[in-house]
Amino acid sequence: MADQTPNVCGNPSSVENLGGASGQTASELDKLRAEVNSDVKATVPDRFKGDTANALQRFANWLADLIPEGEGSPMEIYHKSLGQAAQTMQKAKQLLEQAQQFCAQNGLYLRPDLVVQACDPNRPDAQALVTVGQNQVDTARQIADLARQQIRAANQVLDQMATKTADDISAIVNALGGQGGRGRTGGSRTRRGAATPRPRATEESELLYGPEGRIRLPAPGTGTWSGTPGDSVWTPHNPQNYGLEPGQSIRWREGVPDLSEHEVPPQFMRDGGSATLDGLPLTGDYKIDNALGDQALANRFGMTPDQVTQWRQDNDYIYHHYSDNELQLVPGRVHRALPHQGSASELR
Amino acid sequence: MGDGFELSVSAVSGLADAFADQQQRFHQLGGPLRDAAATIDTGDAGLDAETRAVIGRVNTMLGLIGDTWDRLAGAVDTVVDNVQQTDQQVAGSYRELLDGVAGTGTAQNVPMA
Repeated sequence: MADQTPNVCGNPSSVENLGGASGQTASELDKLRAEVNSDVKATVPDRFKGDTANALQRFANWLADLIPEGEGSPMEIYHKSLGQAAQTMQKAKQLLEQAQQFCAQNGLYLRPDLVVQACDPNRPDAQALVTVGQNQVDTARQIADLARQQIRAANQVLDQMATKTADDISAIVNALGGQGGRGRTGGSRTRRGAATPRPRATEESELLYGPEGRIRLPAPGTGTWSGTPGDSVWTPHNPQNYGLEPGQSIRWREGVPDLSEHEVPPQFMRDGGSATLDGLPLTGDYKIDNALGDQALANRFGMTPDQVTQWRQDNDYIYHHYSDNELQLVPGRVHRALPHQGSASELR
Repeated sequence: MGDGFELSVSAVSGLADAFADQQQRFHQLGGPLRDAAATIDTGDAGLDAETRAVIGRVNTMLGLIGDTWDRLAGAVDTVVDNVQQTDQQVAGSYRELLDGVAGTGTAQNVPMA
């Protein structure tokens, strides 16, 4: 009767396996985090500047913050906790086997509900033996319960991390709107070689056709329009993603953002004047038009065009093509983040 | 590129490739965890189910990180595409200009000084 082992202690190896798998995951996450940091740091300083560099570095930092590294990482804690639980469970299993052995040697048997009984209750020492055997079984059961408590506690810590992280990521993804990206198969790697010249919608933008031709707007779900999309006021759900302060919005006119509200303020202009440069013979060619803008400002500031270029770079100011003869000097943080095809496209 | 930006297509493509590789690894990370959780036996069926559910949520989290990384790879791809597109548009404009003004015929690449 006593050879039927109740599954009170579970299978310690299965617990250890799960702990081992979480340890491997923690190690792989550490490797991935290091690679991401290395890739970003190797590329950003030389290839990107300004807000793009900041955004990429922030993304790498975000991953690091999301899942702490090394000993303090929830996956690593889970690994260790389950390892301890497996040891505890193994101890319980050994104690139960010893109790079963005691029962078998002393004319006792263990019921599936972990109650010890004497095969011959009429033996004079039956009750004393049952008490000893039951104590051993109860100890094994208590230690098995302790192992399960360790697993529950580990589950709780890991679950909190996973749930919070998933919520955080979902919030970010929802804020960005839509589906996008490169595709899990990486099949789009061959696409770059073709380099077909075309405007294309990204996950952050929507390509539409209006009366003036192609217009690119922020993707649906990233903000709200007060009226006709592309010809009304657009208020982003996450203004910080567009270099704006909470509550700020952007006025669009005929498919082109009018960034006059977000222009460089007069107090930051060298002559205290407006950051709108109009009456320029713009071509749609950025290099030519930037030179025209720099020349116009050079005339106003009493500087050379090269000095204006340097001043713009130092302050991250960019020309926004608003119409076929008007440039708006705006902070790069606003201009770069906003999906649009300005009047430069129309000029081209 | 102007404005102090120097963007090498091959270098940024390399970054996009690295991100794409990393997002796939994020998606693959959960496999061993899921397999191990499937055979867990704690002696309490309720706790076994709870543990599998937790590991399921961890897998969801890892998948979401992978998805986010996929978007990042896509965004860097877009940078590369836009740079190439702009380059071709500028090159096209100059070809038209040269063809029209100098009558140079078919545009050819020339060595840069």
